[in-house]
This record gives sequence, C-alpha cells and structure tokens, in this order.
Amino acid sequence: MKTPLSKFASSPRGQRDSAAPLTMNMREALWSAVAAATAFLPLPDAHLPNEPKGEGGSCCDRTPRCLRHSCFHDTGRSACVTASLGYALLISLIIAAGLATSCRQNRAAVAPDPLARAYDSEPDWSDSSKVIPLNYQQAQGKRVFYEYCVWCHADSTPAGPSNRANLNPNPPLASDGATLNALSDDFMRNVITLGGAAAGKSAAMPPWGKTLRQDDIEAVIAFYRAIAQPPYQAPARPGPKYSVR
Amino acid sequence: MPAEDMGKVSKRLRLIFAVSSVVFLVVLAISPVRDYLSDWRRYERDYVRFAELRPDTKRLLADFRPEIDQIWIPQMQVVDRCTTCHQGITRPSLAEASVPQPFRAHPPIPHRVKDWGCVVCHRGQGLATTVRDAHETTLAWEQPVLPVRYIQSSCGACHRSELAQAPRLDRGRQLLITLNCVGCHRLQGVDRPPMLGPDLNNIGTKVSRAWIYKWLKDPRTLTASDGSVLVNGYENEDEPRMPKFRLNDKELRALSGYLSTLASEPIPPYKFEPQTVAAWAKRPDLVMQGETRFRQMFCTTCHSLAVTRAGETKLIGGDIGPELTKVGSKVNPDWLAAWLRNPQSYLPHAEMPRYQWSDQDLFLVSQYIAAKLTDPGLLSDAPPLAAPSTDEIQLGRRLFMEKGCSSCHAIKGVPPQTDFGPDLASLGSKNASQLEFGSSKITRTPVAYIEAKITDPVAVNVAARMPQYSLAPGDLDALTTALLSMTGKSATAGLEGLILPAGQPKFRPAGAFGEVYERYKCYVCHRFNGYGGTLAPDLSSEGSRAQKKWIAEFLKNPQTLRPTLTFRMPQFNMTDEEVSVLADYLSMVMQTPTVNPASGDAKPFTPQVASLGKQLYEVKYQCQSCHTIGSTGGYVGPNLTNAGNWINAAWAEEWLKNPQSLQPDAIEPHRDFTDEERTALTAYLMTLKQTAPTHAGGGSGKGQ
Repeated sequence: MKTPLSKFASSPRGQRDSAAPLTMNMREALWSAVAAATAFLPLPDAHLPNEPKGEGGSCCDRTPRCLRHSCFHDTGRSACVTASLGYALLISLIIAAGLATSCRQNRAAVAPDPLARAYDSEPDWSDSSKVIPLNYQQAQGKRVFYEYCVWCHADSTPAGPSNRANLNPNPPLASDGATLNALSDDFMRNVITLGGAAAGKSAAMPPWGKTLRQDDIEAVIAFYRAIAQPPYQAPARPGPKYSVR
Repeated sequence: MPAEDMGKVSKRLRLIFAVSSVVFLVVLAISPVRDYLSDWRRYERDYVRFAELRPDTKRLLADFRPEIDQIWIPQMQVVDRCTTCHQGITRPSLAEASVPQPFRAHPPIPHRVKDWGCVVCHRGQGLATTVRDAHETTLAWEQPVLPVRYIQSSCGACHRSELAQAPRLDRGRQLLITLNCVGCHRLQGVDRPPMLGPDLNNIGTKVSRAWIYKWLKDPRTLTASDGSVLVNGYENEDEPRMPKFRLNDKELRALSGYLSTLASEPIPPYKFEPQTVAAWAKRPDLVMQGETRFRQMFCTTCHSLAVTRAGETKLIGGDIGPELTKVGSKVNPDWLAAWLRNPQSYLPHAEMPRYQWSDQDLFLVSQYIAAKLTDPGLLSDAPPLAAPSTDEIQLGRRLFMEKGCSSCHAIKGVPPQTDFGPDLASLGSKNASQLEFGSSKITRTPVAYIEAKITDPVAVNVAARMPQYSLAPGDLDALTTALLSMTGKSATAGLEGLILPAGQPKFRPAGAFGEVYERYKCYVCHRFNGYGGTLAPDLSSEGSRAQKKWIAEFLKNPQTLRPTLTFRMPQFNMTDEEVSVLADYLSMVMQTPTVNPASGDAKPFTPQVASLGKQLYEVKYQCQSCHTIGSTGGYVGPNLTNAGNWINAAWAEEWLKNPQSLQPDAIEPHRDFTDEERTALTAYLMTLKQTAPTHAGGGSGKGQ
C-alpha cells in the first residue's frame, strides 16, 4: 500500500501515476488468492431442501464430505481442520480484498487536461496556435494587464492601435521573455510601483503604486511570467531584496 | 448420541470454537484495520513523510494536525474536513507546482480558506472523510466537487452584481440576458425586460413570407459547412438572439404564412417631398451620396456591415443594433423609410434613436440601403411560396402558441406566455436526483445535465421544446457557470447574509430633458448614475468636467472626436433647442460633489505658473507618452489640444489629485503631485486652446 518515498521528488502527478498500477496489482492479487482458496476447498454439496436424506445409507457416504451433516467420524480429523482453517482464511481474504477495494477505489485518476482545469487562458503571443493556461493569480494579472498595461506593452490593443510605437525607448512587450526573464520579481515590482524614473528607466513609465493594489501588481508580474517567450524559469533561490536588475 | 462419541464431540466443539474465535478476531480487527487503512490516515502519513523531505520540515511538522482536522464556521454552518488530507492548503511554502496533491497550497484568492472553508466555493461534502464521499456523488452524498472551469459560479452565488475577477461568470450572465433565456425560464437576478424579441403585430408590412420561412428555418441564415455561425453569410462571433427551432417544412410554411398576414396597425409609408425625389432620383451619384451620409451619421457605431479587405470578409461595426449587410433584400423599402424616420412608431420599445432627418438625407440613405446593402440570392433557397391558405394561417397561429413564440414576441390577440420553460432560479443548487435525466446516457451529475441540456436539448429529452443554440465552447462553459451560480435561497441563513445584491437603479429623468433623452436614447451608449450602456463615456459627472459651451458645440457637431475611432457618437442633427436643453441639464444636474466649481477660479494661473506646468508635463512626468497635444503624443489618454476650452479648471485639479475619485475605472495613474505642481499643470492645460472650434478635443475612451 505504501508507495516509495521517491515519488515526492518526481512530477506533481508522479504519486498517482505510480500508485495506480500498484493498487491495481494488489487488489487483483488478493482477489485471485480468494479465488484460488475457493477452488481448493472441499465445498459443501448443494443440498436441496426436499432431498431425501438417510435413505440407502448415511449422507456421510457421499464424497466429498460435508460440514453440514457433521460427518467427521469417518472422514478423519485432518480434513476437517483443513476445511475449517481454509474457511477462516477465505473469510479474512475476502475482508482484506474488500477493504483494499474500498480504500483504493479512487486513487487511479486520469491525468486532467490542463486547460480544462485552468482558471483562464491566454493565447501564446508568438504562436497563435498555442494557448497558455492561467491560474487564478495569473488570470487576475491578465485582467489588470488588459485594463492598464496593454496600451503600451502590446502591439495590438482592445481599442485597435497600440501606443507602443509612439514611445522612445519602446517599452518591452509583455511576452518578451528575452528582456523580462532577466529581471527579478523585486525589480519588476519596484518599476511598476514607483515608476520608470525611480528605477533608472524611462519616465514614460508612470508609477502605479497608488492606482493598483499590491495584489494586482503581483498578479501582473505573475501574468508576465506566464506568457513569457522564451518561457520564464523561476530562479533557484530568491534574488537580492533590492535588486537593480 | 452414543457414549463413545462424547470425546469426539467435545473435540469437534473445541475445533468449532477455535474456528469461530479466529473469525471473531478477524471481525474484531476489521474496524481498527479499516481505520488504519483509511484514506485520510494514509494521506497524513504521506504528508509527514513528505514534510521530512522539505527544507522547512520543522515548520511544517509544527503546524501538522494529526487526526481529523476541520474548519468550523458556526455562523455559516460550515464544517469542512478537507484540511485533514489537504494539509498544506494554507502553507505558502507549498505553493509550487512540484508539490504533489493533496498537499499543495491554495493559490492566493481574495477569501481566506480559514474564514470561508472549502465547500462554499468548491462544493463536495465537507463532512466526509473518504476521498470518494468528499469529492463525488454517492448514494448518501449528492453534491460532487465542482470542476475547476465552473468554479466562478460559486463567486456568483453571493456576488450578484458584475464581478471583474470572474470573467467567465460575467460572460455567462451576459449571455443569459442576450440570448433571452428569461423569455421562457425564470432566472435568478434577471428581470423580464418589456421587450425580448420584436413585436410582430405588423411583421407582414416589413418582410416577405419567403424571408420569414428562411429565417425560421435557420436564424443564422447561413451556416458554414464547418459549423461556424454566420449571419447573412458573414462570420460572426456571437450567437444570434433568435435560436433555431426544430421546424419541419409544413410547420415552416404554416408559421411563415401566418406571420406574413400580420399587419394590424401598419405605419403609413413615408411620402418623400416630390422636389427631393425629382432632384435626386436621376442623379448618378445618388447611391454614393447616400453612402457618404450613412458613414457620416456613424450608423456603424451600433450596426455592423461585412467588409471585404484583402480577400478576407469581416464584420465591422457595433453590435447594439442588427447586422445590416443584406438588409436591403430583407425589408420592404416603404417600411425602411418609415422606420428610419421614427423607429418607435413601429416598435415602441426600439432602442434606435429618432434622428432629425432632413427629407433629402432620408431619401439618400434609404436609397443607398435599398440599392447597395443587398444580395439577390438571399432568398433563392426558400421554396416558392404563394399567398397562405386559411388552413396554413390557422395552423401557424396554433404553432405560434405551441412553440412558445409568444414568450418573446407579442402579437395582439395572442396571450403572452411567461414561464414556458422550467424555473431555473435555483438550478445551481439542485442535486442529480432532482433533475429529469430520462433514459439518456448522460452522467448523473448536475453539471453534466446542464452541459448536455444547453449543447443539445434533445439529447436529454426527445420531446424537448427548448430550441437549439450553437454556442462556442467558451460560451458553453460561461453559460454553464452562470446557470450553476443561480443557487436560489442559500442552504443556511449564514450564507444568505453574505449575498451582495445587484443594484440596478434606473435613470429616467422627466421633463424637457427626459423627452430629448428618450428621443436620442442617450442611455443606450452612455451611463448616467450607474444606469445605461458602457460603449461611450459615463456622463454622471459631465457637468463638473466639461464647460457648458463645449458640451453644446459637441452635441451639434460630434464628428471631430477621436478621428481614429470606429465607434463614434452619431450625428443626430439636433435642433438648437434640444442642444440647449441637453447642455443645460448636463452642466447643471450631472455634477459630482467632489469637485467644487468655485475652487478653480481663484487660482493664480499666471504665465509663469503655466510655463512651469508645461515643463512638468513634458519633462518630469512625460504626459505626452499617453496624451496628444497638436500632432504629437500618445493615443492612450484623450487629446488635450483643446483642453482649455473643454475642461473645467476645478475638475482638472481634482482629477490630478486622484483620477479614480472622480471616475473609479479611470486608467490614468494616481500620482503624487505637490499642490504647486497640480496648480502649474492645471494652469498649463487651461492655456491649451484651439482657435478653430471644429477641432475640439474629447474623450470617448475610458481615461479622461
């Protein structure tokens, strides 16, 4: 029943993937043990209710011997002991198998479609055939982005033309991973909150700290990270707190 | 029993005793073994082992809660034991995707898990302690966990008004309204509007029987072979409001026959003045002039037309009114002129404004529509239809009632129907056992039922009267989400107390302004104190913002506002009297208490202060990134070229202090100007005046 510890080091769904076949094997093994035990047992005959009894000899003349008619006197004790223990074993196996079945019933889940489970999605800006799934925070970032940021950080906007080409220097596209992946979350947070001038960049980037809530700014950064091409890799350890890049 | 058997019997009894003891022990062991093997204990053991592998083991184990853990919120009657297995749900360090479920932290959301529990949003059974009972429908526990793509429906259970954080729910609620679901069903939070579909009393004067036949057969008019929705042959993202009813040829003939005879109060055809017709009828540029007028009036702000550019056909224009690409082949030309002149005389609830037409403009535009917006092949696939027989008319009238047409369309003498379909006001809280699945093969869950029903009603019930919609997959999800959000009365009084009602105050002014306001249907595009459309700027505090003279000039000539925009205010050709009524009312009544009109006048706007403002505008704050003055600057904010003639100084100062206090959805950043800077910037803006009054700056976007 226990899955190896190494499962935690593997993919998020590693646990299920490795647990499912294991569960299946154990359950099948138990039930086949029950089946095997049943086959070797001296099962009682089917006694019909109106079956004539005691005519032309005792029921004990029949083979195999049955428990119901207490025919131990002429069959030998060893057979009886075997039969009794066999039944005990059978019962415990059935119980164990039943338990295993009820416990493990739902562990084998199918791997879900990431888009069906996503809170929202965004088409990949550089490849329109792909769609990027977004979680709740990234979806909130998408909402804030399309309200406040899209005008200068995208090439097309809900209203049509973009203001990006009007600006010098050109603001980076939101999906521009080559530029933005190198910037730490702290730096992004500072530029958005305090404006470009405060971070040594163009003053054309206004400060949003009093307009957007801190959650919104975090969400926008999460959205940028989600749609970055090439994809964003979170740093192994957090960068310095007051980074200049 | 013979005496010599006694020993054997006792041994046999002993044996039976031994066997039953074993069985007894096994039976006794069942309960502790089951407990030991229970799902939640296994997950707790796994969690401890998992925590030992993490760098923050100590912290995780210190917070680890063995045994059954539950979130108990007595006021809401929430008892959720989900955290027994989902141990890491409130641990920020377990947020990464590499953390295996069920231990991963919940993504950050506005509601804390500890305050709300899990079941309020995710459904499922909070009290259950096995994986299956908690997440799925079983005999005793009927409410399965909600699929993630419908999770926004739970937001809607309490948040009854629009919620920007839940776009899918908002889209679904919007679809419930635009698709007229309320015509047949009772819905939570959606009132029956006065008109759902058009009034059909005089439909016979508007369109031909062949057109009705074709329309009823498939209101998409044309559907591409790949199933995409086309209106009059052009691709359209939206599902038309009229759904497809499954009608056979006989029914189509009968209904089209019946409807084509309806002309109880025909509006008299408009008679053009003979001199207009004489002057224009023979001119070769008649249609071209009509097209120019059509464009100048900005009909495309509300109506769309198919335009072919570079081999690609696209619908361009708004979606408030119907699409018009082939309307010339649809409607009767006499009807068209009368309609354009006074839409409300034909349909009292029509949202189209009543323009001030000159006889010449009306002639030109109606000629253009009848000549250019046509398709000779539009009705070619309708069978030849003669005048309808009495039997057909009788049958058509019966069908009109049987099919539920009178739920949305009014005809005099036909009793209007309400609640033609089942009440859906509490559909979202229904269990599978409360829904009629019949013998269909649908999974027995409420979610699967709703999905199947709106995808293909006949799949659920062969005799379904519900018409067929062909929604895009995203819209299906949105609609399902909105339907699931209608949970009726909440399960507990605690939850009932959390509901945030949707407020819809109606702005219906009376008097002279009210008359002009109704005539031009200002509220279809503009918002007034929270009521009205969202296409154009909110006018709730227009009187504080704009100078009265500017308002009057703009109403007379709205043409020049943002030349790049597709959606512009139409040219209504208002009379001077109407203009002065509107300008007076807007500047006197539509004010915000935040702006004190007197505060702007006393300020020392000297040229020195203004030049400081110019410097701040251009260098320190670089306002030109978003605003245009003259011919340079950005397109995000409104053009400020004529700001001095347009904006009130008091408004500008207040706006610079905090834009969101005046317009909560303004996208202009709220900045830290000092008082001197604010005065200087205002002084500079007030110097921006354009000599030619025809080039007024203005805002039709969100930012001002």
